[in-house]
Amino acid sequence: MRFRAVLISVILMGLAALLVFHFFQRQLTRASNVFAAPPEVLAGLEDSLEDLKHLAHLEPERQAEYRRRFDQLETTVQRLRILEHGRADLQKRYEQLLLALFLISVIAVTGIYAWRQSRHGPRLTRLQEALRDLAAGSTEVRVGDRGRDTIGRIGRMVEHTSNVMAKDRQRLASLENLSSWQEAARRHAHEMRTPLTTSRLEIERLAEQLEGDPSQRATEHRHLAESALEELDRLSAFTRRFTSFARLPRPRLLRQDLGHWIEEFFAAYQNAWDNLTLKVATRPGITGPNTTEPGITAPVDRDMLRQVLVNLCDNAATALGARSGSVALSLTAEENWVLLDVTDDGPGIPEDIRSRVFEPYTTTSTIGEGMGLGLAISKKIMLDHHGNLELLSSSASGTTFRLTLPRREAHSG
Amino acid sequence: MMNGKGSIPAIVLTGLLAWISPPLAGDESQAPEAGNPNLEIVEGDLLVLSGMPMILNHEEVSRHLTTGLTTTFAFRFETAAKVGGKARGGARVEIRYELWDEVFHTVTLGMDGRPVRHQLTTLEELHTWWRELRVPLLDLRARAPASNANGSIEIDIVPFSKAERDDTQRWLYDSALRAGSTAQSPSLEDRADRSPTTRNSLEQVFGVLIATSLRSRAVTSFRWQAKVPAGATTP
Repeated sequence: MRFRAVLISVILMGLAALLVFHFFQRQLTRASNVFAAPPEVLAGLEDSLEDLKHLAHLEPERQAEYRRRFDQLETTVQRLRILEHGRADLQKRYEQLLLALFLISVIAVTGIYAWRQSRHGPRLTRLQEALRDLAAGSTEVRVGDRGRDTIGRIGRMVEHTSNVMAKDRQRLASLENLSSWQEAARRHAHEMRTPLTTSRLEIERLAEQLEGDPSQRATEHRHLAESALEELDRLSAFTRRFTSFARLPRPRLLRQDLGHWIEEFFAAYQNAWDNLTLKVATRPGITGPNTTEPGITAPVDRDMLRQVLVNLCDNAATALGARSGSVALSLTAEENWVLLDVTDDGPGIPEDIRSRVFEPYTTTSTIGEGMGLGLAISKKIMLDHHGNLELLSSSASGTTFRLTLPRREAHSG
Repeated sequence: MMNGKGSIPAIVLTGLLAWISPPLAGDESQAPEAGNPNLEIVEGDLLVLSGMPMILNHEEVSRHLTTGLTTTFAFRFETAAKVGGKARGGARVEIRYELWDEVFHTVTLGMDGRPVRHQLTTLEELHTWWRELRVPLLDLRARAPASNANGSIEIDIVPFSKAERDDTQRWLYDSALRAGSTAQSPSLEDRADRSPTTRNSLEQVFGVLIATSLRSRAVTSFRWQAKVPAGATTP
């Protein structure tokens, strides 16, 4: 491969040198052709001189004219004689100039090539180091080459690959973390469900035995049993939610027109929250339904994706409390990704929990009001879509989450 | 390490240098014909060459005498440096045959600074003139060689004069430029409108380089040795 590259370079250099040489030698040859007079021409001119002298003798009245023509011709003949005398010198000078032109052409082309190589050398070294870092698994590779040629393009591709690797690693880490949480939740749910069921059956049997007993004591025990069953119901509901996180199904991906899907979501949920107004924005300054970009499609599970949006809107509505607010959905597309930004104008997420907002049981609600599983489930759903859910920004004026979805079907391992 | 192969680059280099180097003036020096010329002192302060050998009959000289160009005889005189340092002198003799009038014009310019002109009608007269020619080679007032010192006299024969060479160089340069402009613009109008400033500067450079390669190279040379007569002393 190396030899082939060198061979191609040498051939290109040779061609360039020949072109330059050809251009210059044409100028030189034009200038030199003038001394290429054959000896017969000189002999003929000398005869013409004799003829003019004879003519002058034959026509004495035109002697002045013949003399003038004789002098002109003689000058030419003399010049040709001097050229003839110096022909060897002229020829040698011509050959020397040709050789010099050829050498200049070769040196010029070689010089340009060497100059380009010297310029490319450090860039190639940087690229080589970046590729070595990339191969070693670094996710912070920076080439810093803004060139528009092949080296610059490769440098940017290396940086892009590094960024993709970084995101993939982050996704993988999140996925592993959530999977371990899911496993723990599944075990806990399993451990809780059996005693819960047994307790419920025992209390119900006790309540049946007390049925029909009019005594004061039996009445009190029946009330206690009802109260215990209510608590058990609450505990069962808690366990079901626990189970729903632990047994989150795999998404069934089907290609959907996401703009159309968002409009459907808007129509179905625009009045679902009392204190929340939904907005759909795909272009700056334009809000409301029917404004999504057509033709943005991605493979998604409609129901699971809807669950993610509902979770986010639920959180926003909860965070708003008694006051009213809005959630804006903004759909855009990149070359390989679809981006759906969900922005609320609520009070924002407290700074101390922003970094672990997707971890299960992270919540700002008081105990008993929420389990903090909504964002974890949403994150898991998006990761299962080979996409991601990120907290883009959060401040006192609002919070933006970004849903990222691949535009093409990913090959899951 | 020198071996058979090792000498090849040296041979190639020598050949290349010989090819690149400018031609030396003149061919091989010819052996003198019909005796040696004489050196004599005239008017006490001028070293004069006389008794010129008949080199005009030499083939390389005679064939140039009637071409119409000015055959130039460049004389150089030099004494050995054993005593009193080197003394150098010279002179120039030009013979031009006028083709229309069929006469020879000669000019002798020696170290006395006085050009002497003659017009001769036949070749015989030219030969006679040559035999009787006295060429002032050295002004003894400026530098005199030691008496009886050996002096070398050399004549280079160039078949044209410097003025004729310069004229041919100019003509060659102009012709080269005309050839270049003709090749570039076949239209007569374009050629007429073409000013020197628009001419290809590259062609001008090549034109100069080609034209200046014309040299006043001697076609042949003659050399003699002669003794400086007594009486040549520095004042």
